[in-house]
Amino acid sequence: MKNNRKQKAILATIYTLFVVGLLLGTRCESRIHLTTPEKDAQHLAELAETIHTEADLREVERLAAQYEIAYRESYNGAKALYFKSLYEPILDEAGERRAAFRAEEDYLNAQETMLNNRISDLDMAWNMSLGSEAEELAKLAENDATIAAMRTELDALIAAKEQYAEEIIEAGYPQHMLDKIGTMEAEIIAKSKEVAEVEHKSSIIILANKLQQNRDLMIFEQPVEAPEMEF
Amino acid sequence: MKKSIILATTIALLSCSGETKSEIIIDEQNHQNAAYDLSYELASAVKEATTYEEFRSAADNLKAYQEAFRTQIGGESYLIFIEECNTILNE
Repeated sequence: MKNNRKQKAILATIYTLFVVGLLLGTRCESRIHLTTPEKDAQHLAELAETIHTEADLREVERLAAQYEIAYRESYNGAKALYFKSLYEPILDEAGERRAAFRAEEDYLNAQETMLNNRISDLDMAWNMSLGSEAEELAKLAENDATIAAMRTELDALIAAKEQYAEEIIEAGYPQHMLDKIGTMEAEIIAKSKEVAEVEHKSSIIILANKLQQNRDLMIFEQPVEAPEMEF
Repeated sequence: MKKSIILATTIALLSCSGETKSEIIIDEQNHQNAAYDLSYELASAVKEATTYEEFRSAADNLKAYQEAFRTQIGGESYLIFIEECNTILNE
């Protein structure tokens, strides 16, 4: 009986020690080792030098925030603010550098997309089945008429949006009007895309005729007939 | 003994039956000039193809060199290669 109680006590002690150890362990793991604000800011500056991606920047920002919290908890708010004043310019600079990298990446991606699209257009043009020159010109003329009609609609949408924007300013930017202008802008974007698609189709027709038949398709404006004079 | 001979022969046969495509190597000492020269040569071939087969072969070749530039050189020379190809193909 006595032995049983002793065993229980030992087990309870071991369990308590285990839980305490576990808690302390996780705490130590996440704890930031502080030196001085200058040295810690210098450490961040060195890390910031290696930033190349958005994830790198976020990681340094997270670390800086952890240092700041650690200064606040271990010392006081003033020390944390002082540390912040040291690292903030470093992060701003790193952010600018990252933005420059991103701009370069975006430009490279745009160039890669342009190359892929051009090769894809050429492939499409080589595979397009063509009719006679008159038929091909008719296709182009039809597309031109569609584009002209779409452009008229697009111009009307843009004019309506501009008019509505003025009404919003006069009304003091109410939310329901802002929502409506958002919808109008989406319609303009969608219509612009439709126009671009038909223009692209025409460009493929021209390219296909050039590549396969060595034809330069040109649409000449039909001269407007003068109205008959009545005497 | 017999087993090891069979094993060695199998390995040799497997290694021979692997990738037979010739690998593109970009001159690392002169990669910027290579970017200008190769982009001109490859994109012109795509543009001047007179049949679909010629076009497809030239386009595949260009894409293979693009990948070689991307993986072996990267950076500014890779960008030059793509920019020059775009210029020629969109002229």
